[in-house]
This record gives sequence, structure tokens and C-alpha cells, in this order.
Amino acid sequence: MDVTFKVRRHDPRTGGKPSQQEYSVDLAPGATVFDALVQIREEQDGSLGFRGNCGRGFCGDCVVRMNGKLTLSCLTPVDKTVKDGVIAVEPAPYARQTKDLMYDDQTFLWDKYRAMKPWLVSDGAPAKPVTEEAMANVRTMMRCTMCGLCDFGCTVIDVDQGFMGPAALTKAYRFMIDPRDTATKERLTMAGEPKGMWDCVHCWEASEHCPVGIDPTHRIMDMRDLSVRHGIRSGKQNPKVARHYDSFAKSVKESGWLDEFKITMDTEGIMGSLRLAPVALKALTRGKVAVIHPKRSGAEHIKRIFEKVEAEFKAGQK
Amino acid sequence: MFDVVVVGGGIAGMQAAVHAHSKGASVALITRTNPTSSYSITIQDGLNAALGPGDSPEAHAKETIHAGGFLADQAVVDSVCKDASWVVEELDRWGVPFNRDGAAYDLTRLPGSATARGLIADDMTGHVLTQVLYEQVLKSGIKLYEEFVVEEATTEGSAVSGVVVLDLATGRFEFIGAKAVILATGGPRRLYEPSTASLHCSGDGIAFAYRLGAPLVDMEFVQYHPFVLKNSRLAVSEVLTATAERVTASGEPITEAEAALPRAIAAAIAGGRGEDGCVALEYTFDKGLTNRFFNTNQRVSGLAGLKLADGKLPVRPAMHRLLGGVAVNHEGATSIGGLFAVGECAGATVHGAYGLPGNFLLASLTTARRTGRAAADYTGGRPYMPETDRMADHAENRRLNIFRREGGPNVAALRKELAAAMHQHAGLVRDATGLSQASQTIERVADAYKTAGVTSRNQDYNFGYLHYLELGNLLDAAQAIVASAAARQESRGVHYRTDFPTADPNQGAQHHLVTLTSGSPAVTQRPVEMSRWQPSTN
Amino acid sequence: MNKYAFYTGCVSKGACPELYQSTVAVAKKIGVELVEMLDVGCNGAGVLTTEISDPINARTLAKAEQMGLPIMTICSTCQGVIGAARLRLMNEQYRTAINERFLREEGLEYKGTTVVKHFLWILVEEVGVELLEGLVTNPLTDVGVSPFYGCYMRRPDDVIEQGGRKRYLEQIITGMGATNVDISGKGKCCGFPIAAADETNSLAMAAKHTGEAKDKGADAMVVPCPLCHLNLDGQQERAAASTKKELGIPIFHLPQLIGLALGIDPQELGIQRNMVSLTPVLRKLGMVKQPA
Ligand SMILES: Cc1cc2nc3c(=O)[nH]c(=O)nc-3n(C[C@H](O)[C@H](O)[C@H](O)COP(=O)(O)OP(=O)(O)OC[C@H]3O[C@@H](n4cnc5c(N)ncnc54)[C@H](O)[C@@H]3O)c2cc1C
Ligand code: SF4
Ligand code: FES
Repeated sequence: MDVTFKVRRHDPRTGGKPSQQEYSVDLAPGATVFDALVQIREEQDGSLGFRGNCGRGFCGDCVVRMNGKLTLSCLTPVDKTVKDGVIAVEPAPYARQTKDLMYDDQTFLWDKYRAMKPWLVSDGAPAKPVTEEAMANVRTMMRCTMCGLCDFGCTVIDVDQGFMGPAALTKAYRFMIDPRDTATKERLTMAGEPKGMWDCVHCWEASEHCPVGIDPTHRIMDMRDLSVRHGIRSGKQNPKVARHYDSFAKSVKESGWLDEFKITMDTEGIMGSLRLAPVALKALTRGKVAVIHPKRSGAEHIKRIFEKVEAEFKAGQK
Repeated sequence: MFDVVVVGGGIAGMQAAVHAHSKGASVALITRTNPTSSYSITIQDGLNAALGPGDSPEAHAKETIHAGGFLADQAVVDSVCKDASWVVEELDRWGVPFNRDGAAYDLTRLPGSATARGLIADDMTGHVLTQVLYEQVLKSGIKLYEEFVVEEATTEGSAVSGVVVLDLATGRFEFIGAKAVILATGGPRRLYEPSTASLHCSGDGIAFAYRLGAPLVDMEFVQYHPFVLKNSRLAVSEVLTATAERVTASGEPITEAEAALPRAIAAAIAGGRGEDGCVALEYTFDKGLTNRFFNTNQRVSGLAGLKLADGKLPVRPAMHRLLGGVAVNHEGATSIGGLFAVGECAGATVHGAYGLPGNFLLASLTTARRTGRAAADYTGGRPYMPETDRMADHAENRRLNIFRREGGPNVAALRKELAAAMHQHAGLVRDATGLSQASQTIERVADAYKTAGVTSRNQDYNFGYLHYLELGNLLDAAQAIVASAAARQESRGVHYRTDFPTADPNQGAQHHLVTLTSGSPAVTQRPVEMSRWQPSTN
Repeated sequence: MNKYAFYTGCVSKGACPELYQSTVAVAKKIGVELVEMLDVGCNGAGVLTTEISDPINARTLAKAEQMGLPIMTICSTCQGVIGAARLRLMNEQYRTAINERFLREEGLEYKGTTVVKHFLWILVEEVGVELLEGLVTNPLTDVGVSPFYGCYMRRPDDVIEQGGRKRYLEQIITGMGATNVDISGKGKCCGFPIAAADETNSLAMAAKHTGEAKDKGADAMVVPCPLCHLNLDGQQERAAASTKKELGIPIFHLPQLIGLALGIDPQELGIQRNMVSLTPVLRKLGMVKQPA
């Protein structure tokens, strides 16, 4: 099979401009895009920069964009991707490009992962019984290849690459759910700092992008639940988040419904609310936020649910 | 300047590094890739440990020695099987989530074992172990050099002095001094086509030691994996095939086992049975185990558009693993002072003539544990060699010379030629004629290599130069494999010669050592250590 | 004909009364009967832990079951959160546990049969775009509208159930005679969920999506979610200020867009309550005479 690859090339070190280079290759049946890139690099052009090692979905290093689709190139068969004999190959977005299809994976991914204290902490006895069920959950987390696809798909990273991102956060979660780990609270506090789990907009993009079913968005939400259950709710530098949660919970608990105005006041404090005052004023004049929720029927049942669960949390924290 | 420099960040390298560090040594770990991208991550099978009821390290050792055609050194096997429980306990403490049955480990009976003794982490044991070891490396603060390629290990007098590294990102050479160097570069899979190789599998450590004059051992034993997915490098997990498999070629079952199975499959394919160069691997897929095979399923579907649940996969054998390597003693020491080897590049003589599934990981982990500690001990009280840039300058000049070459032979074409010859003549089936043809090909390629050019003259990220280095290393391993295979005029385990189709007890009592002597491989012998079981006693 | 248990959510009763107003107006016009659920609570909006929100949502689902009606939501987040809870509650063991622990006390039981649909889905799947088209008296000709779904109307797949639902807004836009102006960010997050945790990022998202619509030449955007509306409309001025970008693109609530095309009085649709004025759109439609 003859295929033309149009590869985005760029060597920032030499100061050159990005360009596109064409390579024609004759490929064996069943070849993947990764196979093709390897063949190009070995046979034609040893300066072509891309990562990837295993060719079978384990190292997670080979993510590139192929005819628009961003995923692991080693699990992407050429014959399913080629259009009119051509595959355009471009680097993954956001991260700083270092050479052609390679990016600064340390800054984009691994530094964040390392910031999560990614090793088991144990003060001897396991925190909880070590069961197959618990181990199975840990294993699911450990399917992660750090391919970064969740981060590449992340809506928050789209505007802020300082966000810890789903890849690093799910790594943190891996230890939180390990019954052998005894540092859960410390980890929850760490992951609750600014740019951590509370910065996630739970848009489910990460879950859609993860090729190994880790479902990172759900895991971040699980982590938040865990944080609330442990009575932590946020990092030390992130008190606003805890205030927001408490106020939200209080509003629903007391009235069954949310009161956005009160939540803003509670979360932002007087000074913060003043910052928002112009918007609030305009909103008021337009008849928004007009209804302050009256306590409705059914509210007492919702309060009862709250009290029951909160009592369980309290008992569990001891 | 470090006490211990470990070359290679696979399972073996990281285990050695962590243990050297635990004994107080300053340690650097150098890898071509990110450690979590090493070949080790692709291991989908298990880790043997005699932990089940009624099992014992003795029983495990006995099976290992039998399977390996009595060519394994028995005291070494003994200690590997005994250390298993330690290693497992440690890994668990570090966070490996082995599959359990209730609170106890869920052991899988892997092919070739009479007992269930394979610990698994679903179908990604290697991936999980690698992650956990990497976590320990990070925790211990070991200095990591990632995307650094070691070009050579160096000696000063009779002892090792460090390594010359190439920083892939900048193209700069650097000398890193060390009192001890542990080679953990993995095996030379890229020497064969087809194989289960990852890109970095050029067995560099074997070549480094060989060029320094250290003997290599058991190099003739090249093990093929029987079930490698069509058109790919994916070895189908033994954990899957352990669930009752049947191999058929054009509908007829193939019944051979262990070392003979890949040969039988290859013969069936060569004889025109099978389809598209593959036979059918049939198995019963237990839907309750879907999670256990999540990764395999995802890869099989990505690579071949197939589903595991269909109970049938097209497979063919591919070179999987070299059983020999740099000759080491039970503490991983080579013949050169301060030079150690672990993992797949080491000839620890644990497997003999055939390696049982599940024993590779175990051997890597246990020997690396010992070796890391021994290397740290070795450095105690020893002075550093004086720092020198001489070696880096030398490497720089060498590269300059290669860059000056115009229009020489293409490195990739040469490697392909070599890999095809190795597969054909030094693979599953061998004979004197074939081996001498392989020898000739090696010579021809080695000759061409002297004038081969590179496709890129960049400083930074020059993969062309990297491939050039790899071929040089592969050529060294190829020489040793073929010389060793030619000298063993019998069949044993995975070494099968049509001109000597049976085992010869006399030759079976000897390992072959290959040493680089005035530019050529010289083969000598070393008796197999058989203190416990004799072939006759079975 | 079509009758639903109407789950209003908090925002349409608080910061976005115009959404409630316009929903009721449109429903009436197209013959959808709404029975407002009054004695139920906030679904947790992905903020409250599932331990708390699942029982609350089981309660809501049980109430609708009692009424014998499917639930209609008018908010992506309500839809997503109740939808996900509903999926979990399909598991009998889990459902029984929740019933036992939380619902039984007030004599309720959720049997697992309630269907939950967003207004948008109902419009396309049950009312039908054709029927809606037939009711258009005031086609939004030459008005470029960018769809913006909100995360929960796109993902996760198991809650969305049908892939086709990811293209419904476009059908409505063109059905109402407007021009669909596609934007790449239509399935992304508006930024609202992190308004408290990271305001900078939240505003950056709002600016990005409104900016994209503007750059592509849209006259307005349409959202099926009041939270998206709060961020894209309510915070637009601040988003513009924080990113130093000229924005000013009006944001329709879904029923406002439809209502306008069906000839409902803009006042009745609460259009005056939108923070970014819709007047330029009305002017384009010839519904406002005086020049800018
Ligand atoms: C598909 C497959 C399945 C297997 N299954 C099993 C199993 O079920 N059970 C079992 O016991 N064994 C199994 N094995 C055996 C397994 O190969 C070894 O036990 C293990 O991989 C050895 O690891 P290693 O650390 O020696 O090498 P590798 O993991 O190959 O690591 C080599 C490291 O060296 C680095 N490196 C190489 N050259 C250089 C250089 N010049 N400079 C710097 N760095 C360098 C690389 O970057 C890499 O980090 C399997 C093997 C395969 C192929
Ligand atoms: S969580 Fe999934 S998508 Fe994210 S890095 Fe890991 S494997 Fe990749
Ligand atoms: S090459 Fe390793 S995951 Fe693609």
C-alpha cells in the first residue's frame, strides 16, 4: 500500500518556521500510522521527531493528530485513516512543541503527575482491608499509560495549561482508593489546592478521550465526593471552594433548592461580592435573581436525607 | 559522579536502582525512553512465585530446571525461586495490586507449570510493575536521565569508570563517572523479524560488555513466542491462553507444547496450512473475565479490528526473548570490575534452554534486587576514577566521522537484511549450512556498516544516528548468537538443529561462553552447575 | 397530547426567570402540557456528593413515577445529573437500598421506570421539528445562530443514550429559519462550574466560546442550559473585560429562540431580562423599528 504522509515539521531549537514535509511509503498490510512513521524515520529521514516505543498501546507516547483525529498512532491502522492516499500528521495541541511531533511532555504531563506524590504511603498496617474488589479498582486506574489524551481533550487545559489535568488527578485518585495507602487525607488536601480537582468543570471530555476506560471525569467527581466525605472539601490555599460547597449544601438542605445570591455572598464574602456587584446590580434591574426561593413543601424530606448522610460521614471520619 | 549508574529503566533497571539506593549508594538511572515506556510494560503475563497451597520453591525450581533442559545453573534457580516470596511481599508493600481471590493472591496456572503460581495484575502485569517501580524511583530521589542514550561503558585499567551518554534532545555527549555500572538495557529483539520488539530493543548492554571483553553466555537460546497477533508485535497473553487453548492450522489441531510449539506452528504455516501466514489460536473466553483482559481486547481491536470474545485470533510465532546475555555470577557481577548486568541483557543462567512463562519477570526482579545491593556494596570505600571528558570527545569525533560519510549503505536496509537472515537461519530451526549463511550475512552487513551513512546530520533528536548505533550493537549480539549456535551441535530446548536433532548429554552439561577475541567471537565452555538434580533422575 | 412532570431546576426560578417564562409560553403554544413538580429538590448539580444527591434524585424520580409522567428538564446539568442518577438506580440492589434507607420513611418507593428528557429532546423526538416548522410565523431569516450545548447535553454517552441528540440544536436553529453558525466549542464547557473555584478560567471559557461565535459571524447563540446562560450571557461583560476582547453577542435560551419564531411576544419570552441585549437581533428581524 502506497501512502503519502504530510507531516508537520518544526525544530524550535534552530529557530526555523513550522513546515510540512511529504513522505511516500510503501506499507505492509495491517500497518499502523506509528509503523509508517517508524518506517519513514528509519529508511528515509532520521531527523523526524516523534515518540512511541511499544507499538501496542502500552507506552502511551505516540499520540499525534492523524487526518484530524487525535489518538494513539500505534492503534490507528493506516487503511482506516487514509483519505485519498494521504494522511496528514500533526502534533498534539497545547503543549510546547520540542521537535516535529514531539512535545514537552515533562511540563505538560509528568511534572504534574510527580507533584501528586505518586507512590504508596504506608505507616504499616493497611488503612482498610485489602480485598480483590479494592485491588480491581486500583488496577483499573493503573491501566493509565499517561498518553495525555484526557488532558488534550480537557476544556480547562484549553484555557489554562496550569491546571493539573485529569491525567495527574486520576493518578492521585489511584492512591486514595488503595486500602494500603494511609495518606488519603493529605492527598485530598493536595488535590484540592487551586488548579486541582475543584478546577475541573466536569464536562466529561476526559472520559470520552481516555482510550482505556478510566473515565477520568468520573474519577475526579469521585475524588470530590471522597473529599466531602472526609470533611476536607478543599486545599489549604483554596478556602473559597469549601465555602462554596458548604453554602450550596446548606441552601439545599434548608430549603430544598439553591439560592444563588446567598451562595455568592457566602463564597465570595462581602469584598468578593462587591467585585461582582456591577453584574449583580444589572441583573437585579433586569428582574433576574428576583425570586428568593421560598421554602417549599418536601424540603423537610430533603433535610432528612442530608442529615442521615452527614451523620454517616461523621461516623466514617472517626 | 555517582556510586552506581544504572543503564536502562525497565523493570530490572529500576529494581536494581531502588535497591542500590536503599543500601546508601548515590544512584543515577539512564534511559533512552521514559522509564514507563520501556519494553517491560508490554509484559501481559505473570510473575511466578511458589505461594499457593502445596507449592514450594523446591517444586518451582525443579520445574524450571526440567523445562530449561537442565541447562540452568541450579543454585541460581534455587535462590531465584526462594527470593520470590520476598520480592512479592515488597512489591505488594509498594503498591502492586495483584489479582486476589478474597484476601489471598489469585494464582494462575501458566502454560508449562504444573501448579498455579503466576501472580498477575490483570493482563498488564508488566505495565503495573513498571509503574510501581517508577514510583519507588521517584520516591527515593534517584537521579533520572531520561531520553539519554548510553553509547558505551568505559573502563580505566581493569575496572569500570562510567558511561558515555548522548543527550537525545541536544545531541551533546557527556561522560558520567561511576564506581559501578549496572547494565539493564534489555534484549536484542530488533535483531529478528518478526519479533515482539519495542523500538529500543537493541540489546545495547550486551554489546557494551562484549566490546569490553566480558564473556556472553547461553547466546544460542533464542525463544519465540508462539502466539503473536497477525501483523503486529502483540504477544497474546499467556493468562488468556491459560484458559484452555487450542491451536489449529486449517482446522487441524497442533499439539506440541512449550519449546516445540512455536516450531510446530511455523512448520504448519510453512507447509501451507493456516491462513495469511497465521494459524488460529482458539480459546474459551469467559465473559466474566472481560475486565481482566481489557487491555488485550482494546489492543486486539485497535491493531486487527478483532474481538477477544470471538474466541479465536490469527497468530504466528515471533522472536520473543534471548535467554542468554552478559555472563554474570549470582550477584550480577560480570568479569569486569564494577560492571554488573541484570534483566534481559544478563546471562543469569536461570532459564537454561527454555524459559517458562512467568519466570522471566521473576528472574529479572530477584536478580536485580541482589545485584543492586551487591553493586552498592562494591562501591563502599572505593575512590572515584578521575573525571575526564576524553571519552565524550572521542564519541563526538566518531560521530563527526560518520556524519562526513556520503551515500553509504542505508542502515535500515542493513538491519532488515540482518533480521531476515537471523530469523531464517538462527531462529526456530537451525543447521550448519544455515548458520554459516547467517555468518556470511553478518560479515557482509558488518562490512557495509563501516561505510554506512546516516539520513540526518542534526545535533538534536537525531534518530538516524541512534539507529546507526543500534545496528552496531545488534551486529555484536548477532555474531555471538550465531557462533554459539554453531558450536552447540545438539538440540536442546529452543535451540533446535535439524542436523543434530537430539540432545547430547555431554554438550548439555556445558554452557557456551562467547568472548570477543581479536575482533572475532571465540566460544569456550563452562560446566553447568547441577548440584541438586541430574538429567537422568528426572 | 404530550404531558410531562416539569422539573424546573433552581436557576429558572432564580437567576433566569426568563427561561421559566419562555418555556411555559412555548409549551403552551405547541400543546405540551406541563405539571410543575413543586415538592422536589435540587438535584445536586454535580456539586453535592452522590451519596446525598442520589437519594434526592431517587425521590424526584419516584414522585414522577407516582404521577405516571416522564420528567421534563430545561437545564443540561439537571438532565445530566438526574439522568446519571437514574442510570445508577437501574441497578436493583442499589435502588432497593436507597428506597429502604431514604424513601420509605415518607411512604415513597422508586421502581426504576421514570424517563427523564430535556425539553430539547422532547421537541425533536416527540413534538417533532416538522410540526414546529409548521408553527413558525416569524422565521428568523438571515439570523446567524451558533449552537452551544453545555457539557451534559453531549456527554457521557451512556447518559445521553443517543448520539443523534448531539445534533438537535442545529435542527432547531434551521427549523426556526435561522442560519446555523457552527463553532468548534459547541460541545465544550461554558465555564460556569468553576465560577467560584477559578474565576479567571471560568471567564476565559466564556470569552472563548462567545468570541468564536462572534468571529464566525453569528448574530446570537442558543443554549439549552441556564447555567451556560449565566456564564455566557450574565458574565459576558466581565469575560470581555478580562480577556480584553470585544464581545457583545446575545444568548438565547432555547425556548426564547423558538418562541420568537413562533410569534410569541418577546416580552412574554422575558427577552428584556437577558443581560446582553437581544435588540440587534430583533432589529434585524424588523421587530424593532428605531435604528441603533
Ligand atoms: C510480550 C512479552 C511478554 C512477556 N511476558 C512475560 C511474562 O509473562 N512473565 C515474565 O516473567 N516475563 C515475561 N517477559 C520477559 C520480559 O521480557 C523481561 O522479564 C523484562 O522485560 C526484562 O526487563 P528489562 O528491564 O531487562 O528490559 P526492558 O524493559 O527492555 O528495559 C530496557 C531499558 O533500557 C533502556 N535502554 C536500552 N538501551 C539503552 C541505551 N543504550 N542507553 C540508555 N538506555 C537504554 C531502555 O530505554 C529501557 O528503559 C515477556 C516479554 C515479552 C516480550
Ligand atoms: S487517564 Fe486515560 S487518557 Fe488520561 S493519560 Fe491515562 S490513559 Fe491517557
Ligand atoms: S507506541 Fe506505545 S502506546 Fe503507541
